[in-house]
Amino acid sequence: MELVDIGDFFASGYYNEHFIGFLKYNSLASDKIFILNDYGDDDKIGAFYKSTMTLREFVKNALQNKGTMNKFKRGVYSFIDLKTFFPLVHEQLKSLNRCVEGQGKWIVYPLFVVARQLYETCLRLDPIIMKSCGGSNNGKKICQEMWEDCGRDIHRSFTLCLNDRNPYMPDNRKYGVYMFANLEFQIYHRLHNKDMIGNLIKVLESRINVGVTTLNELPSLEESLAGEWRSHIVMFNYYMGQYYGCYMNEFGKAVEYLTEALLNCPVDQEYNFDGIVEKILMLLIPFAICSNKVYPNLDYLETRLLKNKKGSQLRVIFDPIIESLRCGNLQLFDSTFQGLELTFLSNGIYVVMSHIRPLVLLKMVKRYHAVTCETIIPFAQLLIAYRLSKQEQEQEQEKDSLEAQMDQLECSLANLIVGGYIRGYLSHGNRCMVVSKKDPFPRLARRLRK
Amino acid sequence: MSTNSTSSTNNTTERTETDATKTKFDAVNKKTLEEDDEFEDFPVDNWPAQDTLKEVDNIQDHLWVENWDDVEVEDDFTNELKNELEKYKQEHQQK
Repeated sequence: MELVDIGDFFASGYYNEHFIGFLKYNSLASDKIFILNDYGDDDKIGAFYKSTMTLREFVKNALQNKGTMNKFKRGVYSFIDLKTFFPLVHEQLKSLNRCVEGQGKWIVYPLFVVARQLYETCLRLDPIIMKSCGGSNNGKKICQEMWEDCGRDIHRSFTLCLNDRNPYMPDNRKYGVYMFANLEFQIYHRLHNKDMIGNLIKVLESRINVGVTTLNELPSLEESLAGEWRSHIVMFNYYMGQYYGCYMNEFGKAVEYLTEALLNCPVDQEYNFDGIVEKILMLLIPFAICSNKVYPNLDYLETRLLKNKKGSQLRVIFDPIIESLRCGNLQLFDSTFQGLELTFLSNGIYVVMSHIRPLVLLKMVKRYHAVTCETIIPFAQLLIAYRLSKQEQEQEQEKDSLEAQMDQLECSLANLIVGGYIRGYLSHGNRCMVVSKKDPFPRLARRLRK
Repeated sequence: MSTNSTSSTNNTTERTETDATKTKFDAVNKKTLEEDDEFEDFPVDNWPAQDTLKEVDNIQDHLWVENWDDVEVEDDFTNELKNELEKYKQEHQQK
């Protein structure tokens, strides 16, 4: 039996595997006895030591009484008394948060281990609580409160890193901000709270690349602790891209972040990242279509990027969308959109997908122009192409008067001209569009950066 | 002009195709709702820089197609449009 003095770590400002083992309640090493000699009279460190020991004791007893270690390691927590368990894990983070002030960079990783342990505990408890409450509103409420508690104290850890005033940067806790931000993103996402995500990003953005090296400035993602785990780089960029693309409609910015996320994913299949690559592409593809006017080669994507995920749903979704874009086929676009509305909504791409429709219309106008080659395009004739593209039946055409249909078309054309997609002008009096003789449809595709 | 019998066959084929598409779309909709939380269980993992997609040869060039400005597309739209425009012009000249 080896004695490990927890106070030593705080006294000398470092951690090792024994300290991390002490923090984790699912690594109950039997050959170590954890004591607190140094700092024995420090209230805060004393409370942290006590809360962690209580947690360890609780888990040890629960395991002895009912379950087996293996079951526990697989995350089967059903034999644990939920009402007592969550507060114990929660208390561990709260008490460690209180010890952080005055500690150097060394504390960041142990603090993250405790924060992530709390997050993972909530992740395991959530379905158990929902099940025990039969999926009722009461269960939802208990879970929501649990996640809010969890988020609040992880945000406290984040702030403790963010606002470290230590002028000696190599020992500053700012090094850890992104790790906690990633945990917060996951929690707020689960709580469907986009305001909290927005607030978090505003705080970070105001302090990255401010230009002047001040105490306020944060290290870049790669220089920070998160830079040591590529999965954290992927995750941070994913959430940034999701925020800009799905919530702020800044598609160009979203493409940059999501490309960075994608390019940092592993080539090797052993990491089991296919699901995540697919999730990144689900957002990146529509944003890239809208902002760069490029679309993916789905064959390449399927054979090279998603080797283990044959029959990917990306194919079902984007095959018809790309086809409609290539052909200016409004009927195909509209029926696909209608059929997949639910998928677009739950992935947050409903808005960007609806921004693709004008591009389908544009292609239709372009193909009309390729047939007639005239600079004057009468609405009445373009309407024929429009109906062909929508594959409208005779009866449907009579729903609106011819005039009304031309007005609608004129409106859409106005938007395309304003957007810089068509060089020309409208003549409302003559019911026609006049397009530039030279290059009426400027080339749109913009290559994605390497 | 197509006879009644061929047009009804066309309709049936169309309908079967629409149904198949609908089934595929519904499956995707269902799957999306079930998989909503996949990213939450994000593995903490690391892999060396040379094993990232960034290092795959010209991945960006292979993945993204820029040819959608091209107008040549192999479908019936152009021919149908030519016919319809021809009909339209004849009708209007007669008036």
